[in-house]
Amino acid sequence: MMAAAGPSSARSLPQRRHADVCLIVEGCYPYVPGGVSAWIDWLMRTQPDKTFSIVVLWPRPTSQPPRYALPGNAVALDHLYLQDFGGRPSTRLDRGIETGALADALARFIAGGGIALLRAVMGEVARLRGRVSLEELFNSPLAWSLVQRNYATAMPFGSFLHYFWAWRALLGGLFATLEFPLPPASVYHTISTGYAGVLAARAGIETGRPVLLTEHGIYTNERRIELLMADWVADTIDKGHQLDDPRADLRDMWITAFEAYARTCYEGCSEVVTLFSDNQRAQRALGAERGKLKVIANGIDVARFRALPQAGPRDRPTVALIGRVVPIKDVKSFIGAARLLRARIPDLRALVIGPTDEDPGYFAECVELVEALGLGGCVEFTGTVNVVDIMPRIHVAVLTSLSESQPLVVLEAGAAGIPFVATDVGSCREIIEGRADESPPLGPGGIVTGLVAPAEIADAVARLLLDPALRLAYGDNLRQRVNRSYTSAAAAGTYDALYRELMARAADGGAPWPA
Amino acid sequence: MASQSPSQRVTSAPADPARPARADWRPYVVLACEAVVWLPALTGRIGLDAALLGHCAIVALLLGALLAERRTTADKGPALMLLATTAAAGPLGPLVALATLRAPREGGTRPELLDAWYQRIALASDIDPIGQRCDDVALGRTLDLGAAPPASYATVMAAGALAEKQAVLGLIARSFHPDYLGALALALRSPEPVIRVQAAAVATRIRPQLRAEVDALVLKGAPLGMPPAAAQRAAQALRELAGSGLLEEADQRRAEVAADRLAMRAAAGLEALPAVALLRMASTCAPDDAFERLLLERGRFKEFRQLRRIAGIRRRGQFTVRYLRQRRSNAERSRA
Repeated sequence: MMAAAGPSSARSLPQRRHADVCLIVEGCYPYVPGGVSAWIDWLMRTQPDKTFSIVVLWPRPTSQPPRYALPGNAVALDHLYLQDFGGRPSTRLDRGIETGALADALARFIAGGGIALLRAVMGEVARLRGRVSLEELFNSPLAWSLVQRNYATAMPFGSFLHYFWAWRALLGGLFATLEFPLPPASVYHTISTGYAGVLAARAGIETGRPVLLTEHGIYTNERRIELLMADWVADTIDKGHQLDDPRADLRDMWITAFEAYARTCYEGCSEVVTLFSDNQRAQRALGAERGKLKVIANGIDVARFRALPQAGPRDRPTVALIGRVVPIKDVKSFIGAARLLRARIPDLRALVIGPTDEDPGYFAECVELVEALGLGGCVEFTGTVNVVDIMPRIHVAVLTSLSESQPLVVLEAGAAGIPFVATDVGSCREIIEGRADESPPLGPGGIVTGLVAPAEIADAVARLLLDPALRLAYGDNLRQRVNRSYTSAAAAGTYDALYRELMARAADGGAPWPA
Repeated sequence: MASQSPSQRVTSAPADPARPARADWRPYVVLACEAVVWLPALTGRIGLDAALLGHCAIVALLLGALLAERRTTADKGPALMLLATTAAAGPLGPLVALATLRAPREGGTRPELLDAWYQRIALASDIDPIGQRCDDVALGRTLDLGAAPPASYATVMAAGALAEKQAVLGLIARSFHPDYLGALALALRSPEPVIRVQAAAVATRIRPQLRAEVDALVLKGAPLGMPPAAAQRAAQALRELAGSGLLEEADQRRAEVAADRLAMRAAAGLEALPAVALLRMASTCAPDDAFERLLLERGRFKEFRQLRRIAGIRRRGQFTVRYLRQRRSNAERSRA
């Protein structure tokens, strides 16, 4: 699924060629491996009859090498730098240009979002075009008056200094998104809300072409969680433990802005796709219309796993966590579960299969914990191995993650007929227990547990390890479910059909591309 | 915006008084140079054109010096003034510059105040907390004491709105206290996926703090002479931490062992305690805890009954006290 990375991927591409699909990606492809980047690579390679242009939203120019080689059907790669906006300070632009309407439009857009308000902001920007560019405006005395005006209405009790810098960061990204020259395409496909979502919504307004969103995780929620827990965001108002204090502070400002961006994106998209139905609750809560929502699950190449032999009752009882040794996988809970399991299954082998070099500190803590609990002969860190080679030795696979969207490892183990014990994150429950509308229902393919719950995980694994018939039945259920609903071919086919439909709509109703 | 003006309090160390005034000697040098050029011209020893050439050379030198300094952080005002006045007025220019620079600057801001203000706008971390607090009060950033009491975290987690639950989890993450463990445990079992994920992130973040909490309690329980009440409280806190399900395995076992040890020590200390001290100690413990069991095990039934009575009063509030008073006065009346 993932293409080989290499320096060749940095090949230069013509920048303004028309593409069938313009992918808008923020903070991942082609510089960050795995996850969403791998999915984007897969998407382009499974649609060889369509051409793609890619807009990469990145904080500022980077010297990082790309981790993915661009496929042959990628015709353009553009970068939009969010934190690199603004020219040299200018003191000339202080008279004669009325920016009150722009300030009002921006304030209302950041506070509420939505296509109508984005259209109003774009109208004001267009009105000023020719007299002053956003880049000039951003560093001029007019910007100073804008920030003062917005501060007085948005955060009058908070610290102006903090507001000023937050406003610069927020508006810099928004202005960069509004000024970015859109690559010509029939369909705009954004992979998240946020600034990428605003750019996609803008593309929809400007070109009249259909806009599609595929959300893996819910971007706005991820930002909200990050902001609520962040120590780098100063609390300039003492709200104590009050949850309904009306005085807005920096966290409120950021969260409100990202919610506004999400609302704009949802309104601007004709289709809102996600990987599993649980995500749709959050999307609806953030303003997505029910009629636009669609689930297209990721898939795997099941042929790789179909013929693998299964671990038998005479093999040493083996349970495996397949994943990187990083805090978000909560490997320590797996180790805790292994301790409890060994009391019931003395010859248990607990494997941690995955790279250990991403967070050496956390890996060292895990090794220390294994030693402290006397699990030396039981828990084993294998490092990176080919899962196909090791799956025939695994009786039960485990995922103790704190957060996932749609973990491919569950599908891979399922395709090999290995039952799964997973925490209740992302689409794990949907994959293991089946969707509510599964017809006919296949039955459970494993057991779903609570988060950070070693005892619960140990109980679930013990149930499967000590009952071979149950284990085989669950493994078979999971295999059937994966074969039916989670194949790569099925996912690619669904996207093919969706793209064709949207491209046809673009041909019918889209405005001619501006010269 | 007016609220952001510099405070009149000195909020940091004053500026360095020994800061060198780098431009002070230059007017004298320029004055001397101009004199060297113009005196021979006035006495007719050189022509006016030669004097003008010399004057231009001096101005050029001054300009060169100023340009050379332009990337430094030094104050360029005096040098600029010297350049301007010399260029315009020749030998009188340095005198004008000197007079202007030496004149007392009435109404100017003292450097220490400016320093404090610069520190503040640079968001320096060593701002005087008293000054900061005064500003907060003046600007309306302090806690709203007129607001209704905040809802309990457990209540919010059980029945609050999604945004409220997320805000609570944010507060728990940023200012953790072991008393929040109940709310966090509820969040981990929430039917809302968003809440579960955030709670898990909080749990991971606070694990080191929980470990530190266990370390502190274990350390606190180390002295043998620890009073039984304190030992009992520490044991209870350790049990709560161990039962939270958020500790790592090794820490959980350590907390359990330490709690047992402390509880045993508290139990041993009970034998020697007089009834009054025992009851005072009981009043600091939560009802229905292991303390009552200990009293029963030790055969101190009278204290047990008194403890239950205190717990009842605590539970039912002042009405019970009124009822007891009423009963007592009724009994006295009937006796009379």
